[in-house]
Amino acid sequence: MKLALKKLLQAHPSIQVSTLLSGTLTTPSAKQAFVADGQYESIATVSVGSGGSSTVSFTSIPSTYKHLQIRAIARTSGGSGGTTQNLNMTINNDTSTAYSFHQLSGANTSAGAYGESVGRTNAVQVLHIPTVSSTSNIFGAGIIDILDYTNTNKNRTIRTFRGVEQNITDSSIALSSYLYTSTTAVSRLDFFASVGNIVEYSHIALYGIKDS
Amino acid sequence: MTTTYEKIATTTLTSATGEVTFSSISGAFTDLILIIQAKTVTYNGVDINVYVNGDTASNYSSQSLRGNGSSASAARTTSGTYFSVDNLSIMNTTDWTISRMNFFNYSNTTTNKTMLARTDRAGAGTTATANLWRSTAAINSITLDCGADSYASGSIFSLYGIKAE
Repeated sequence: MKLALKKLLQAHPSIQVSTLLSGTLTTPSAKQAFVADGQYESIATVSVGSGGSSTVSFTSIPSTYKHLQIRAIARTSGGSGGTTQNLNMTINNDTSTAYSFHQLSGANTSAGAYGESVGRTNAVQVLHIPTVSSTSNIFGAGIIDILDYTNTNKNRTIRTFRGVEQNITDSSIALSSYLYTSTTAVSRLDFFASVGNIVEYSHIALYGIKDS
Repeated sequence: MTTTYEKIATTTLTSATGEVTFSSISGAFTDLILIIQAKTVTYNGVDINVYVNGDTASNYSSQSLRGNGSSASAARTTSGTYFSVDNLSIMNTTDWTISRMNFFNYSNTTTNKTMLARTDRAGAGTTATANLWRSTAAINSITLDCGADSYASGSIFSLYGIKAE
């Protein structure tokens, strides 16, 4: 630690940053590269309680946004014998094989690519999550973007950034893109583990991003 | 519906600085997003190192996916002493490196903390990392350094909070 060179930023809300900096404060231009001020709203959140849950659902999703984003941490009660499973998502309660995806991933020392065409998968694999065999208190995490989710002239396009790090080689990071071959506006999302229940302290939050 | 994604603190360095710390971070949000644009002063091939709550013990681990323009690779750090945010020794003295770090559910006291990061420098490559801090403590400070080097003047560090309701 090089304390002699340390700059201390006292964060919101206890002390004004400007009183502690010798440098120049800037406007939040970095954020605006991703989302404009006032355009990002919390729609609904599920914090899974004791006993877990087989499915986490968001229904009657409002159509007043341009894009949806889900930010989640999760873990499953199942999967004995292995330390990673999938958290899956269906759109509009559609469990047909209307989904396809491509994935770029890193696991231990191997980088790889993988995909499934339409007709071979009936849900979107949105997170890698620890199992009942994993070290306690570790959760997988991910960000899911559903673009232009109300446009009825387009099939749905989804992307994810997800990872599970467990301090063992059975860890992974992945960037994925998905197609859902339906032009129906997204009004419902369901999340469920490949095996077992989604455990307590899992947290799935749905946000809306405006374009005006 | 509640508007969120709020600026917590941001700074642009006006001189070379070895270490930047966000301290006394409020627990009022659900996730933190730390966005930086930085380059080094002296060395090329330097990592972005991140510590939380002043913890420099071997409580960190990382899994990375990397591309350098000609090939993809993966690597990991087990029981490290900091988050290996880029795991590609990506920073240099001439080009700006950008990184966006997502700290999930940083203020709960029941789960270990996971952070996902994307880091890019056009002249070097792009990386994605999943990072774990094996502690259930709420994160109340984040420190960034670049080893024996310093962040150059003009480097930007911005911290935002997202609150789920």
